[in-house]
Amino acid sequence: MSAQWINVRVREKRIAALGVAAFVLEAEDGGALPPFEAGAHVDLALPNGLVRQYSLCGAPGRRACYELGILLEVDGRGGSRSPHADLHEGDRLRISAPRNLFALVPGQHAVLMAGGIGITPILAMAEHLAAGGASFELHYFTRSQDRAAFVERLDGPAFAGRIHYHFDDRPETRLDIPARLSAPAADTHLYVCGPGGFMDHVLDSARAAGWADANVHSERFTAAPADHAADDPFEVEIAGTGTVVPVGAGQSVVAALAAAGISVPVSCEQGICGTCVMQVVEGIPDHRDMYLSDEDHAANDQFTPCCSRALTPRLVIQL
Amino acid sequence: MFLKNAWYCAGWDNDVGLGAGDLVVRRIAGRSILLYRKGNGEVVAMEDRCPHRSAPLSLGRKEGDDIRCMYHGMRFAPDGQCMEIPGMPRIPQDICVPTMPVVERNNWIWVWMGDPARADPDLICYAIGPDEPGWRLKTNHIRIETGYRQEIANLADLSHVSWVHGLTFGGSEDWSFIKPQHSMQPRGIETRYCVRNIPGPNFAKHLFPPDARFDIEVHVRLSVPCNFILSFAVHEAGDATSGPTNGKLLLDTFSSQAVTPRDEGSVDYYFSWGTSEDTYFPGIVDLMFNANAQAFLEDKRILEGQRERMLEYPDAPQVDIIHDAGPGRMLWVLDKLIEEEAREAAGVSEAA
Repeated sequence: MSAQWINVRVREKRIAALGVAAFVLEAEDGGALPPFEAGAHVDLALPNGLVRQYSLCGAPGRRACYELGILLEVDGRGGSRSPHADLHEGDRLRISAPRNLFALVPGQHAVLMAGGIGITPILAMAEHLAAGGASFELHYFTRSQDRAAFVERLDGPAFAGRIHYHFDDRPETRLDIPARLSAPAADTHLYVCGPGGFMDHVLDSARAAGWADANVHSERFTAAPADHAADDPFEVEIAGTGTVVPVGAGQSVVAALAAAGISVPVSCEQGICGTCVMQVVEGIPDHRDMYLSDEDHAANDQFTPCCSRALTPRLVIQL
Repeated sequence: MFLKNAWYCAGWDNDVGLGAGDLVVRRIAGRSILLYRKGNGEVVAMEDRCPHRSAPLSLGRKEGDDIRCMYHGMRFAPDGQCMEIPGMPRIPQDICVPTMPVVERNNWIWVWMGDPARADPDLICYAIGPDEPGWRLKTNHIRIETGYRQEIANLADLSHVSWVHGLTFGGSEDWSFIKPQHSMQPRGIETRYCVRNIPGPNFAKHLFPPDARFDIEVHVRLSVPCNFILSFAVHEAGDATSGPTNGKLLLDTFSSQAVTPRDEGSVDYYFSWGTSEDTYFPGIVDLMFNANAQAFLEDKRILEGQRERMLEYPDAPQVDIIHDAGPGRMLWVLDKLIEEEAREAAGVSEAA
């Protein structure tokens, strides 16, 4: 039931692009790491105490080390929390075993679309598809060329002719996404990862063009369950006590309550098992779980504090 | 890891008799415990180990209320104090056997494995025993080679009834679609729900027309270490879609189940099942007794298989699914109490 942590060491840290650092992690005992599939991510327990999720971007099947790409947060919110600042070569940290919520499915052709740091799971997918001789195309969208990470791998012979770069500051590289997605096929699958606005545009275009839900696969790297990097702070008030607990931008409600000395039951921490479900007396939750039904979500009288947040500045909860 | 400050069930009261040979050994939470009755009927629980050379006291003999070790003849009183060392005129004061508080309640023998000063009988779980007026219950016992945490996960999530209990309690997939709310209690969880409009369980299907449908009112009280107290009332299927059933009560049943960890990978499981006097009819309790015995063999098979795989893959992560709120909450309570004990033991208890 509880997470199994793996002790790892930072073998290598290097700049992969403007604002992106690549980290290579290896098992502290030098042994093999658990195998992973393209699209998988791991939880990192960072030196500052936060747990965050990062996709594995190395070649799937490689077990000697894991490779991650991590975006430097320069918007003033995350500077001190970023592994860029806190994590150095030789540092030890704990990670979870890989989990895959963004797996490849068999198909004739795969359209991979990555925005910014969303390249990390997409790169692992490209490695897997290329190794198996599968048909695919990869579209990589960044603000400028110097922000494109892992280009030495992308430009290698294995991917020749399959990689298409699209830089915001170079209009001639622009892709008309609705046009590219205008002809869905039963055997073609679309995989999308990147910032929210980018993903919304791609997913809306696919929906408008009539792509079947089963053929569209996406992972939101900024707002995936338990990754609160892009979330706003809010408050929870404990009903009947007047106690108000601030929930930080990068913090779950469970973690915020724990910091305030209030321990609540929790198990999966991904909104799957329902162990942590709490009554909501006031305020509207931002539901991010898979446990509650659509009707439960609409009623807004309960939520999962392990991963869900708030659409109102304050939630009043019943312990 | 075991909770020390808890009452552990050491069996049914008739497991421990008054006879000269009635020296019963139970493995409880990693310790070997000797149980015997004094002349006045009171049960004594003490470590089954002579402090001299570790011989089992259960190989000894009763002498009045005392127990004599049959290795070198040392005699111990029911409070564990050494009363006699043959050949040695003066008895060193510090020679004694650790004893544990014992309470008999609801035909169960309960042993407190922690600090005797904190042995509060009010912490013993609510139960209905076979001597309870108004009930017709039969008792049983099974040993399963599994951890008690796995038993908790089994009992806190009855969705497995559809899949594990194909020959007995199963009979439909409906148990997989219940999503009960588990309320937190100081030492466990409490869960009430109604499973509606389901066919009869396989062991009793032949008693009813094929299209008979039932509503089952389930009320579970789970408490540490792993006591599962179940009220299970069978009604004719009603037409209420939420809240309690409005179908007629057919059979009001009650089952008290105490799972006592022996070691990390083994449990003793003491259980009863039966009906209220008001809904009893001849043969029904025997039918339930036989079905229950068979059903727990179904659990044993899956739990012992699970344990084999867990030992083969000790580091493999397990995923949670939608049925894991009950296990998650119950194990959280258990872990919290164990953690509090560890903190106290480390002397870093936070000031109240």
